[in-house]
Amino acid sequence: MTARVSVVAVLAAVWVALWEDVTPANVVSGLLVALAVTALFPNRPEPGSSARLRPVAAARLLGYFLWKLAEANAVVAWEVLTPTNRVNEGIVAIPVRGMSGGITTIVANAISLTPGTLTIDVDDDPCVLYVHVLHLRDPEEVRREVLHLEALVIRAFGPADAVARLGGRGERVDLAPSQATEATREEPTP
Amino acid sequence: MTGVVDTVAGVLVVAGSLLALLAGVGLHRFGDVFTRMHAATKPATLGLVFVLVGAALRASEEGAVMKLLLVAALQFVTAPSGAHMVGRAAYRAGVPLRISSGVEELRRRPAAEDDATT
Repeated sequence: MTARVSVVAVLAAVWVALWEDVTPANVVSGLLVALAVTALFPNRPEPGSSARLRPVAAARLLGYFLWKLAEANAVVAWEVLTPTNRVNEGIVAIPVRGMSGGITTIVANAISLTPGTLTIDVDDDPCVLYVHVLHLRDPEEVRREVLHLEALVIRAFGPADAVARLGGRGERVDLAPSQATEATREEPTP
Repeated sequence: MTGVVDTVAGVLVVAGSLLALLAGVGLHRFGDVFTRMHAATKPATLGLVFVLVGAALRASEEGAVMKLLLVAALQFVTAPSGAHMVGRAAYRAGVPLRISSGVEELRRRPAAEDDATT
């Protein structure tokens, strides 16, 4: 129910933005259209997800993300503009906590906009992201960075019990051993 | 005062356009689908944001700013999703790609094309 209220609010906001003017008529027609759309295309509620928004944590995530986006652009610009080729591609499997589909979606999209990484595939249960890396030095470093990003996303949008499970600072939390070994499978020896 | 705002807006629009140009050059210079997707997503997104902020500074009414914000939000959702789908499809279809580091932990390439991955 609360999920539908927020979907209706977002859709109505999009409608008003498209009309470029906040008038009572626009708001009312936007709400009507949003109600019709959500009635026609009901969204299946995700089990166990009680998403919320924590403004301070969301601001931290946004700051981290914008900084990384700028860094990503500098890295790609350097690679495009210099004649030398330092590209060292690899595909790294990253077992993430996978709290909910929404959080994993945000993490996967943010990865694609941060330096030298691009999500190319996702496994469910256990949740594993497969990331293409432009300048691969150490797969462990990539895994650490993504888990840090996921912790920031959970702090911003995740349910309270998930945040509690992150622990104190939560940025170096290890996965349950079974999940980690299953997800990283037999590592090829280079 | 409007002179300063106009200058900032102009610089942002030009910088954004240069980033878009950079994305284009990257598409041309990079060697396989994945590296090209790196070039296509990141500079294109930040470049668009620069152009949008520049346009918002010059916009005469607030309504236009709302629409520009909407454009930015949709770009942040669609650019990585699009790159993800292209990359995934290319991987599964066995499009030739280079894995110069030798680290390949997805290991779901179609068997016949395995020799093309190195």
